[in-house]
Amino acid sequence: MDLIKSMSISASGLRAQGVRLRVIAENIANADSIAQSPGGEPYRRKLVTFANELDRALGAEMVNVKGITVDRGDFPRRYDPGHPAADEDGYIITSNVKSLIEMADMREAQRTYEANLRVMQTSRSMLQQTIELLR
Amino acid sequence: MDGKINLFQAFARKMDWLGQRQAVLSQNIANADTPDFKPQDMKAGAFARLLARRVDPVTPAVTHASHISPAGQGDPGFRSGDKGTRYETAPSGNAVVLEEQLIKVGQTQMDHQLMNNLYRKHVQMIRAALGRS
Repeated sequence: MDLIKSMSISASGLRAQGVRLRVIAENIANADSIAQSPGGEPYRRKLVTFANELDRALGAEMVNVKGITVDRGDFPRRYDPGHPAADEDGYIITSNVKSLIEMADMREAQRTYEANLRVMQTSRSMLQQTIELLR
Repeated sequence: MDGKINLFQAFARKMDWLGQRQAVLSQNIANADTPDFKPQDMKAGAFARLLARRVDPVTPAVTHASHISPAGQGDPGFRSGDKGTRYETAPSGNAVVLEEQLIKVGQTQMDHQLMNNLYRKHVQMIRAALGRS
């Protein structure tokens, strides 16, 4: 049944975007996390990668989260000599999360989520109409 | 109804085709952020060709037991593939344009609705002929 198949594909898309949104929420929540001690590392930004994967039972390409990796970018430094985690020059290192990038990413995730949802609604209404033929 | 277009069968084929297209399009939209994913669509004219084959199949006759039965007798099914024309490809290699895909979904839905209504009208017509509408 192709329409049911279509709905499961859309569901896989919704799930993938849900994971992405969760990771973005993690990043934004930790945007101000800094190192605990002078030698320590603050929070590193996380990234989600998607991959299409053939579902053999359905015979369709579903979307899956391939992995959650960390951003290898440099940490910005801020001058704050009174801070307990400051080094001998008075600098502390802060996390490499940029809220503007996270916001843009979040909007993209939202758009794709909406599109998947809309396709699901369409498939559903098509199925509904076919069932109505029995009346 | 030998030799004539079986309308109900044609409706069923078309609805089958539309259902399959919906599956292909939802695959494209689900993979809208997957790197290196190229969108697919049903091959153009596949349905018209298929219908022509259904209505008027020209096949060699098997008149002897040792004749090989002609190829292409079975259900050829529908095929989907890469259309080759794309609006844009993102730096990640993804070529899905959400707007384009959603418009296709809308078209598929409208066609499906049309088929549904035609089917219903046809049933009504037969009912009227039977005298119990």
